[in-house]
Amino acid sequence: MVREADPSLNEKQFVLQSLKEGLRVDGRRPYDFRSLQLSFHSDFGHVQVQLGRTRVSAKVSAEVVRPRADKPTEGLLLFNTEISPMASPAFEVGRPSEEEVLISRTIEKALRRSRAVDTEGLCIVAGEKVWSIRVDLHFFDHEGNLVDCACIAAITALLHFRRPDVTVIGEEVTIHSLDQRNPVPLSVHHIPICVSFSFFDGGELLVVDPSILEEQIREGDMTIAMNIHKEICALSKAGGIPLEMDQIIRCSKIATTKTAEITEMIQKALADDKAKRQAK
Amino acid sequence: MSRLELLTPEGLRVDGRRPNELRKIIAKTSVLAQADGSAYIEQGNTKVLAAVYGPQEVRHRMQILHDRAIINVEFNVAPFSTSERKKRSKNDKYDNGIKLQTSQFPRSQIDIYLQVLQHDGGTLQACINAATMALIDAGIPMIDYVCASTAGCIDKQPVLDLNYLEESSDSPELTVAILPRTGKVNLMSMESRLHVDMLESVASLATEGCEQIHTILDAVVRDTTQHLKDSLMQ
Amino acid sequence: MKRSDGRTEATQLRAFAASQSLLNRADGSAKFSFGESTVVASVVGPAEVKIRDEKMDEATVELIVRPAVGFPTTKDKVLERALRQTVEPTILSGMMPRTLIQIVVQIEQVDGNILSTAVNAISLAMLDAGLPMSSLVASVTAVIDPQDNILLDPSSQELENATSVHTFAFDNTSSYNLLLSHSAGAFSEDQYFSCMEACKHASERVHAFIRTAVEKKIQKEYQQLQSS
Repeated sequence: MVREADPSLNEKQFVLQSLKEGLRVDGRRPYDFRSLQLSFHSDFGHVQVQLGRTRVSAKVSAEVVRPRADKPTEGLLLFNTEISPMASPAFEVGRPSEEEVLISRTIEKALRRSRAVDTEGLCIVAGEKVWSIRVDLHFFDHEGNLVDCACIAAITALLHFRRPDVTVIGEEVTIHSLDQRNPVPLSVHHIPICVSFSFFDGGELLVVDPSILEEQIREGDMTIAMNIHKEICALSKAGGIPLEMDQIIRCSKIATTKTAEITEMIQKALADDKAKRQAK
Repeated sequence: MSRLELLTPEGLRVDGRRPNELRKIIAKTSVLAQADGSAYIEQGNTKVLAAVYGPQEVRHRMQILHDRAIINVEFNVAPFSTSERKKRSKNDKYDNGIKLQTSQFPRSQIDIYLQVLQHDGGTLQACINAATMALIDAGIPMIDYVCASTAGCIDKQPVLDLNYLEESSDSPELTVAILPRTGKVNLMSMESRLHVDMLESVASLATEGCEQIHTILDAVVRDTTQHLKDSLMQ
Repeated sequence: MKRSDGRTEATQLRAFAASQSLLNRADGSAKFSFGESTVVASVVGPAEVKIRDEKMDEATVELIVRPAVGFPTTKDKVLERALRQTVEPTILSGMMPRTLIQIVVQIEQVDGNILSTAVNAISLAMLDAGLPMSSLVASVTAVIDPQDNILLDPSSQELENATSVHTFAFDNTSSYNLLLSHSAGAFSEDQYFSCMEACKHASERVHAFIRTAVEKKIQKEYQQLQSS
């Protein structure tokens, strides 16, 4: 592991001073997200997301397994959020850092507990065969706000993924290969998007989508996962500076706008990719 | 889909409470002899034991902070705590957002151990409340109490202090921890879906719950201290 | 001869693609693909090393492989060892004693043998990081199919049906030294040496490609500097 240098006092003061004047070091305004770019690979369910310079890619794969004993009619949804030292020298292999655990927990809360993917629809034969959908997140570059980037990657990949078609006649189960029958999309109920906030100056100043410098200097943080129906799928503010309740309410309103913008971008990117594939 | 009616048309919940009623709380401090501070909290059927050791010497020299104390929290759920005996892994680490005057104890460590003895909904909030009591019992200077409470939403009605049945249903579960003196929120955690317009009402209900808990806990602390004072004065 | 993915020649390699300096945090990074088989490599170094890994006279080279799907398994460990032994000799680590060079390889998509793709990606990444090296490395894989043909740069399907798989890596000095030889399956001595020859010629093409890619990149940067 290589140690990271903390930002200098000068840098801290500069960032705080600029924020007091409503400016961010990279030229954004406090509520601006960085530019979002989505690119799809040739295989289904494989997408790379770039949020500013933060880069995360998600890869979805499916396997037929035995279901859990206490949930025989539900499929499985697994997330792998191990961060390698490629993203930042601060991460070590094998030992999950606190940040990694938080990211993992937020993604699980936002995507799994909110029932974004229909797990009952993944059942093939109750009690015997179900689909196990696995989402692997590869973290390439940590320039701040890995959570939001990872969440966008994961949900877009799940929307993009196609699993093999299955026919069940009585006891016989046939899993069609990709050239026999067209693969089938997953049943995704809603699209949760994470929006992260960072707080400064005793909770007086807040920014959306913090860069790595802002993350290192911040006094508190909060992540709200929301979908386009204005439902909060997960809210996590753990420790850090205490906030007023109406500040949190205000953040939820900001999150509503951002969620709508990002969901639209995702839908457009998926539609563009679909058109490209059909043209081929 | 809940087969049980979690909220009857008359406004009664499964355990007979009204939507804005907390469960019965029993709180005791100094329950462990070995620990510097300890507390036992029962919120309805959820039972949590907290033990605080510190400030003491840091165990891993690599982690020493020169200007503050390190706070180490270990959270353990007993396998007999739920209705089905389950093996739990010990490494679940919750950040309870405790606000301490850590700058008073540089280069030292404060350990907080939480043991969930019985789990009937609201473990995180019970743990936070128990930890606060244990820290006060240990005599560690704190800015304020940290009081936590859960709230949810059943059939568009905000309800306070969810039990296990209500938690396992599709109701969203919002856990809020506040500092009662300023009313500021230290921790907020929500799972499952809640419409953004409902957030304000559910959150303010939870805050009310926190304030009620604060009154109860404060009374217990003052009571215990009074007893101690009386026995010393004799 | 018609190959499974439409190629006509046994010695035809799939389309190369490479890009450098993709990542911000790493000192050097590169992405390399043989057709659909893609690997991203990042290099950090020379950097601070842990006391227990410190070497008094040279740099410590650490290599980490992350698979495309799932958690790292023993297969990835084998890959790590093979890659480290291939690239370590080319780094002039004696110039950087008591430091760490950390190379992380993230496999993005597997379509054929990933070892050769990874070697090429690492080579480009080290170049991008500006590490002092004695030479570059280029690698190509060859398989022997059931009809006894030698096929270069196999796709996943060709790999599955092969009777033996051979991966070779060569440097770009005038003597074309062999840096890696990894073989699996049942094969004769003659088959082995024929594969080696075929791969040697193919890796010259990869070296040429690497050279062109880097030249283009530097020219573009130079033009950007000039115009600003």
